[in-house]
Amino acid sequence: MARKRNSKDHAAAAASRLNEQVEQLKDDFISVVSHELRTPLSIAKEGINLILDGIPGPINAEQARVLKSVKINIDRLVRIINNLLDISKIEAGKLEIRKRLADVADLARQAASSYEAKAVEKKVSLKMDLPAEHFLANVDPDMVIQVITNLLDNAVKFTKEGQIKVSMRECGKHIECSVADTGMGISKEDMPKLFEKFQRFGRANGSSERGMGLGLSIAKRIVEMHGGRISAESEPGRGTKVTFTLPKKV
Amino acid sequence: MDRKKTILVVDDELEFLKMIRMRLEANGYEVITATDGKEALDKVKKYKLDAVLLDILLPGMNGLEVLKKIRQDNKDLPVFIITAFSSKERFELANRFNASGFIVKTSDLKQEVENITSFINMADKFKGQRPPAAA
Repeated sequence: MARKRNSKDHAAAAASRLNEQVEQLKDDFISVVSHELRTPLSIAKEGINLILDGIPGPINAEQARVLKSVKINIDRLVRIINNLLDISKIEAGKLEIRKRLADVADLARQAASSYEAKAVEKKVSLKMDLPAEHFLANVDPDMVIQVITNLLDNAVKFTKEGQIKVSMRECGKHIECSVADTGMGISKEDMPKLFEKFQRFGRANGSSERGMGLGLSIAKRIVEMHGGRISAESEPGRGTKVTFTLPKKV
Repeated sequence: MDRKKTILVVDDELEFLKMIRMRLEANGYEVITATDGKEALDKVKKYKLDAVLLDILLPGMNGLEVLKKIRQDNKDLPVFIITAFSSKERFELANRFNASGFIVKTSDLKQEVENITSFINMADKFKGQRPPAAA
């Protein structure tokens, strides 16, 4: 009997060691992939930027147009890698949230302003209906910016005309933030899968835009890690509105 | 005539060094490079530097160890950590050794160099405003 228990203990200890090794491998994988993919990308990106800025010498308008297209795609690749690494970290339970008191309205303003140029480029109007006063919450500011950025990224991607609006209001014990667009919308059948990983609705609907289908899934996980909720409403051909909440500072 | 400001860039990725050198030179800096920690520490001693850009993942001695050694003799030298990704643990560790800032490799380096310039200018201004030592 004692021998049997002993062998069970050994098996459990071996399983635990194996588990630790697997976790360590996952960590190493994230770290190595992160470094090894981002470094060559950073070199390619800066090379293009140097040429576009005319530092090695002048280029003509047609060359600039081609290089701008390369730059857009390098930036897209950077976003894809960042999303893949974020989802890996979330799934491995390694995404740590460092909360501090922050003005969520200001975070939304920061995220939205980084999309102003893109909106102009796509001839879509970007409106901010954000409060002038502070909306304080205990959050990880970088992550809240990432949530809003991911929502804006989709909105810009799938809106060909009309407007994108970022709004915020207080709602009981929560702060409620929405990103609404007048884009292609999402079908009723696709709505239940909206926040799942690797769901690419734009592609199914014939959009030329591509993505990994990770942005909303990451946004949902981050919002839930803050004790909030995320939801969406959409009408095909009319647009989509994604709303998330965060607990207010009490 | 004002002397050109000198920046030491430490990274084992030679192609990245070429790119950042072009960017910094276009912004009027004199650029010195090193590809490992030991070479970096030798050059910190040898040259009068205005700032150091220091990669974390270096062969042998890593960037944080280099920063720690730089800080033993140079408390005020602006040192910016170059990193391929923005790990908060790394940022906190580097902050403990008094890093002046961070440069994420995939970010817009034009903007990063402008930030570095502002930092160096502020550091210069601060130096100039120090009250003279009592006679």
